[in-house]
Amino acid sequence: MDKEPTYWTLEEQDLFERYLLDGMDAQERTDFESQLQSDSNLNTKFLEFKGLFRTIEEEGLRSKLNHFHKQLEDDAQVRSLHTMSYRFFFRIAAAIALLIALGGIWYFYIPNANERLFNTYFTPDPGLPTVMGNSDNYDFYEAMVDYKQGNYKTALQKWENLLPQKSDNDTINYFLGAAYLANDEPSKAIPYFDCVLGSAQPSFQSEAAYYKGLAHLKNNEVEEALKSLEQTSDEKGRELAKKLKD
Amino acid sequence: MGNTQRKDIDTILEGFRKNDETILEEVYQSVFPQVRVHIFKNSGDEAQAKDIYQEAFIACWQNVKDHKFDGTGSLEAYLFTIAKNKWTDHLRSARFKKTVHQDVISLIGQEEDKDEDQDNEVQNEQEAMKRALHQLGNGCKNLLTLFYFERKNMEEIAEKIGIGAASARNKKYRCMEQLRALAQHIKNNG
Repeated sequence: MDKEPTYWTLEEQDLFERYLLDGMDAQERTDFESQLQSDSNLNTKFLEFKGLFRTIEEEGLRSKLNHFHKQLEDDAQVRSLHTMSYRFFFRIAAAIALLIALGGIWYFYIPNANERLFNTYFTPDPGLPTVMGNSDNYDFYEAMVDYKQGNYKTALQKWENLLPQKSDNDTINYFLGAAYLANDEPSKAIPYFDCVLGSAQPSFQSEAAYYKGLAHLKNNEVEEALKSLEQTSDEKGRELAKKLKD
Repeated sequence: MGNTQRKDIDTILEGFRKNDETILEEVYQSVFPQVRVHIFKNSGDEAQAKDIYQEAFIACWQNVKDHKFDGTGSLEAYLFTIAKNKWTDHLRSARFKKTVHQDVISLIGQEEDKDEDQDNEVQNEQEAMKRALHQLGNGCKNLLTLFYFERKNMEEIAEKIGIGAASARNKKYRCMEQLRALAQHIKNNG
């Protein structure tokens, strides 16, 4: 642009710009304004400068306006996101409530079904005939009396005292399991039945499997109950297994 | 609306004159919702609301600078009136008349069109200046915007663009000359 003769002098631009940027005091302003009125050439130059000055300002403002507007839209979006997340939240909450309700029904209904089955199939093992006078097994049979009378806690206490000496005895393990199950503590019963099932002695295998199955059923552990029931040769056990499968 | 919440009119007008971004933004955002409602109620849409409002805002800002706003009433009400009138003008436009119901047009009323010859001359000149600014190199455009719109002082600008204050001032001078030459060229050659 050096080829073109300059339109304004540097001083003129400075003057115009000071006026337009409010850089003049009142006196200077008045002087400048009257100068414009008397000097039409200066006035023309000023108006052209002002036009370009305003164009620059306007362009600046336009880009700001778009920025302001975007801000408005973003705020609106944030608001709608909030409402959306609230809606989303309520939907999730409703779904959770529904699941809890269904879970509740499942929790209360299905266990009832299992419990009904348990109650139908569970009768405490009748216990062994008590033979008094055999000193060796006196403590054991004394507990058996308690067991048969339904004093499961007392029986359990007595048998548990004997257990350290007879930990591999399948009879005592079996009756500890039986007593716990009869005492409504299926979780405690299961390990004792496991001891019986893990031992090589055959006497209580079938019963242990049956009662272990019932213990799992009482715990609503249908899978485990089935597994155990399938090991029993007891007819009632098989019948129950079939019902559980159905 | 308490006085504590509301900036007094002089502060707002001063903010408009000096392109104070905070004040411009406050006013922009406070009036738009009303305008949007008005335009939506009168068969406009979101994009139209935005366009009309921005034109109105610029007109309002120009009027403040040109001392055309008399200061009675709030600037917000004034801005809203400008936007409303601009939307009415839009509804009156021929393109719109073809596609819109007669009852909407009867609402618009019958005002005589202004004598437009004089206006065209001014508009052509303004249009040429705008196009010139768009064609100006980014370096010049940024420098001029920082100085004339954002009202940064020369030291700040010099630091921002990494040159000395004296050469920044010199560059600004040459940029203005360049812009003027471009505008002249566009005006004379179309």
